[in-house]
Amino acid sequence: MNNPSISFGPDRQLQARMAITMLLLGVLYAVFVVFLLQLGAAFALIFVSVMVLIQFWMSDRMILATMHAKVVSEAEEPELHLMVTNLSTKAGIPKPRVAIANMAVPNAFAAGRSQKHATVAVTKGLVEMLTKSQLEAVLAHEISHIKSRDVQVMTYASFFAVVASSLMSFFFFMGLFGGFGGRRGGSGGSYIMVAYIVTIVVWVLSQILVATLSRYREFSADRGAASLTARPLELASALDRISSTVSKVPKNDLRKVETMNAFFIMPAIGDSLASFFSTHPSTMRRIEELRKLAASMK
Amino acid sequence: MWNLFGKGSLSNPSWNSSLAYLEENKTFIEVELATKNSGFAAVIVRAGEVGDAENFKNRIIDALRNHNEINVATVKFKDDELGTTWIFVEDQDLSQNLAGIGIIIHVLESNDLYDRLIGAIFPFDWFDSLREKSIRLYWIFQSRLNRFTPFVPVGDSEDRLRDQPLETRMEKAMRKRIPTEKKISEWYPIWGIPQLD
Repeated sequence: MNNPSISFGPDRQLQARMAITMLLLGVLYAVFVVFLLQLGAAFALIFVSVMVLIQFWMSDRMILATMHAKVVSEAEEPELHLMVTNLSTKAGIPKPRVAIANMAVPNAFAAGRSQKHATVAVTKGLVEMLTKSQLEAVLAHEISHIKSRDVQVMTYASFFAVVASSLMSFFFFMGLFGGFGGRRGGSGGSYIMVAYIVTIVVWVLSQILVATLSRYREFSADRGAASLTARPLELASALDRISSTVSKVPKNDLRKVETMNAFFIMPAIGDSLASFFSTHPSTMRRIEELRKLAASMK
Repeated sequence: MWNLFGKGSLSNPSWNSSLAYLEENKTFIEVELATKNSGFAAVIVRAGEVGDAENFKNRIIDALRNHNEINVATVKFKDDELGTTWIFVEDQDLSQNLAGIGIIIHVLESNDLYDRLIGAIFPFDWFDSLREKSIRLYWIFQSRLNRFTPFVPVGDSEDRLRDQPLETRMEKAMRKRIPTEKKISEWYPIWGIPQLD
C-alpha cells in the first residue's frame, strides 16, 4: 500500500486550458461588476458577497451535515486514517480530518476552506465496494483536490455565478411587482428587463465556464492521485467500478428485453448538452487519461 | 449473396448492409485493432410456441439445405435457459461466418420468422497488453436497431460485470466504419453466451 510517489510533471495543455477558462471567467465577472455598479446594485452585491463568505467559512460543516457524514477517529477507522496519513505526508499537506457518510451510494469528497481545515469523506458504500488499493487511489484523488486548493478555487470561480443566481430571483420579483421603476426617467420597467436578461446571460455563461474549470480540475486531481500512488490504473479501476453501479448501461439481458418487447424511451436531454454543464468529465475520458499515464510509466 | 441490394448508409442501415459493413472492415478489425475472429458467430432467435423448437430447427435446416453457399453440417443449434435458440456457424474466417449468419437471417426472413430474430453475435479475441491477458469481445448485432453494440463481459457470467471503458473504445474505433449504436442505454448485455463445445 505504501508506494513511493512518482511525478508525471505538469500537464501544460491542461494548465493552459484552466488558465484560459479562469481568464474568461475574470472578464465575464469584471463586465458584470461594472454593469451592477452602473445599475446602482452595489448593495445587492455586498449582501450576496457576505452570504457567500459565510457559506464558504462553514462549508465543511454544511457539506458533512448534508451528506450525513461523521468525522471518525483513528481508533474507529485505523486503516482509513493510515491511508490518509500516508497520502497527505506524500502530498506535503497537513493531515485532513476523516469522515464517513452513512450512504450506500459509492462516493467521496473533500471539503474545507483551507488545507488546515480540510476534511476527506467517503461513503460506506465506497469502502465496502472497493479494494484497499482502489480506495487508496480515490483518497489520493481527494487529497490532490486539497493540495491544489480546489475548494477555494471553485468557490472564488463560482462566486459571481452565485451572485447572478441571487440577482436573477431579485430582478424577477422586482419586475413582477413593479418596483425598481421610476428612478431613471420612468423607464424602470425596461431597466429591470435588461438587468434580468444580463444576469441570466451571466449566470448561464458562468455555469458553463465553472463546470468546464471543474472538469479540468478533476483531470488534474486524477493526475495528482496517479503521482501520489504511482498506480494510475487503480484509480481507473475504482472509477470503472463506481460508474458501473450508477451508469446508464442497461443491466437487463437483451434476450429478456426483446422477448418482453420492451422499447425504452430515452431521456429528453442529450448526453452532449448535459455534458456541457457537468462538473465532472465523463468516467470514460478519465479512465482513458489514466491509462495513458499508466502507459507512460512503462 | 445476402448483400443483394448493395450497402445502405451508416445512418439508416438495413440488416444486410450492417453485415456488409462488418465484412468490408474485416482487415481493419483484424489488423489495425488486432482483434481476432473467435472462430464462430451465432444468430439468436426468440422462443416460439411450446413444443415448436424441433419443428423450428427442422424448418431452418431444410431451408439452409437449399443454399449451396453454406455447409449445413457446420451449423449447430443450442437452446439456453431463457428458451432462446442459438444458431451457430463455425469458421476461422470472419467472411465465412458473416456469410453464414447472412444466409440464416435471410432464411428467417423468407420463412416469416424474422420477427423472432433478436440479433447475432460476433465474438473476437483481443490481447490486453496492460493487463497481459486475452479478452473476449463481442459485437452484438441487434435486429431492432439494425446496429451493432459492443459487449465485453468480465469474470463469471454470475458476476454480471462488463468492461465499459473497453466497450466505449470499441464503439469509438468502429463508429465511422460500421453502423454502431451510440446511445449506451441500448447496449444490452447477453449474460452466459453459450460457447461451442
